[in-house]
Amino acid sequence: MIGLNRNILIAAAAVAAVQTAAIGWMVWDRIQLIRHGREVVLPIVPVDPRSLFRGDYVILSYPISIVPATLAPDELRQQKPGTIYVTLGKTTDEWQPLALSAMPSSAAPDQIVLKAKLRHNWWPGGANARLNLRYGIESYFVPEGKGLALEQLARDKKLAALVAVDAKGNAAIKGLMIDGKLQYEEPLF
Amino acid sequence: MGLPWSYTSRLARDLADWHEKGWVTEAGQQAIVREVANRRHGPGLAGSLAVLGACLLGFSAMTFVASNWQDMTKLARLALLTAGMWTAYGGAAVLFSRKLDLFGHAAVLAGVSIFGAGIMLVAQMYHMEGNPPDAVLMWAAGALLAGLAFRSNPALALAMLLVGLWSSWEMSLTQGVHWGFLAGWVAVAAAFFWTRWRPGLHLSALAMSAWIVTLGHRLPFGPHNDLVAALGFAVAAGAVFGGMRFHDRFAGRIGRIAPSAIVYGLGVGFFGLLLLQFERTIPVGRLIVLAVLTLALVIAVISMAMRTDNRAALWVGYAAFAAEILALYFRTLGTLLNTSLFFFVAGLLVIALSTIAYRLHASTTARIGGTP
Repeated sequence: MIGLNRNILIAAAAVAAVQTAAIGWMVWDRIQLIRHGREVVLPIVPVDPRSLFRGDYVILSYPISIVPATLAPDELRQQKPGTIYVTLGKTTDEWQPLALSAMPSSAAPDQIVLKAKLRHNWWPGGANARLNLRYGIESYFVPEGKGLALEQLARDKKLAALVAVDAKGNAAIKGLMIDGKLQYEEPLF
Repeated sequence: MGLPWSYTSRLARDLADWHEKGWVTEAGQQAIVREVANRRHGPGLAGSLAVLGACLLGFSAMTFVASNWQDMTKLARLALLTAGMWTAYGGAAVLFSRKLDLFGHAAVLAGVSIFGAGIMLVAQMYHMEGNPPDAVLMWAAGALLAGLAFRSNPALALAMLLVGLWSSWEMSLTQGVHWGFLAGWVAVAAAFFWTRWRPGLHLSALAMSAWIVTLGHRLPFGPHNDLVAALGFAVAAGAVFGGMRFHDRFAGRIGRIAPSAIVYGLGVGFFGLLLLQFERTIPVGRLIVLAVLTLALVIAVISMAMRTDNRAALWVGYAAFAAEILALYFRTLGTLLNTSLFFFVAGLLVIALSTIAYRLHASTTARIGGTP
């Protein structure tokens, strides 16, 4: 083409390449986590359909989203609330929070460590206080208009999330299970 | 001639008047009208429409992602967006090479919007909840990169808006001060300094003003609206001082920036004062002191703005005056009767001041030899 400015063309290619790489890195990071992470099945308590820019999604809530504040050791409470690590163990049929720590502790083979964030930036006091945690697996995106159907399912049947967890405690949703059977499996791409 | 309220028609009326008085020659009058008519006004219709069109394309990409359309695989959707992004940036390069800058800027804006839609799509594909503001930060960084690479002011403006969105989202999640804003703000504001784009600097000043105002309620052990007021007036005072002290040495730069900095500082300062008066548990005595202080500052600002011909500062003064009396009317100084008494005394004082100002003005103009 005549009259194309070389420098501008290089700048355009650089911007497009960097931004493509950024998106690609996000995808690669997730695929690694979903492929190689340990699998956990977490039951889901009532869901709530919402709509935002990223489209319709249902808000998933887990029994482990709320843990007793007494699990937090004193040295953790002295820090500003930020990232905390939750050790889960199977005491009954379900995964239960056993301990909280500021650093990812090495978990026993029958335990699993999840990275979480406090929803509030203070430590609630009192013996019955509860901590409200976010694990980054609270949104499940559905095609436009399909959120209500999933909400109905959650009300009628036992809904659970199949979650992949990596060594650093990051979690990603692999699929949804209804009555113990994998129903919504997520293709990697 | 333009519309009856446009600058061109007002100037034409004034020129006719000045010509009649014999101040402007016939030739001079015509030359001025021609000069103004030939001056280019802003980016023009074509450029504005191109940028608006780019915004629409961006929203089309984002709603396409939001629809979560299942007839197309995720990978195909991602590939489509990536291709759109490359096309937009490639198109921008072609347009800039052909000196069609306005269309080039529109193409860059479209590319940045599609990049944002791509981030949203990945978050949707893998049900990432994570920390949503992080995605906005990544988008802002992409906008900044594109703005720098293409020297594109619209993309930089989008970057500043995204930094603001990132910061307000973080603050709504943590309920604390978001110091990270400063880093993002410095990066984008520095880019605006580099491109020497005045509207961008105004956008930066607005974003910074809004952030300072939020400090009042976000700093721990608050509210700290007194700090907000102090910061605002300190900036204004610093700009007044800097404008006077260093005007000779940096006339080009300080002379252009100082008057605007005064206006933003005053805006933040008066906002802080107003918020202070709206705090829940404020004793009447303190409210009266604040009201007197605010009105005194309003009068000082109006007189300074008139003397230095700073129209924006003048409007800040008038707006602060209006907001202050409305605030007092709603808060009341104890009772409505007391508030009425306060307004009465303040009104008498201001009218007395106006009489003094009139006498001063009359005596100076009499000395120069004009009519007051």
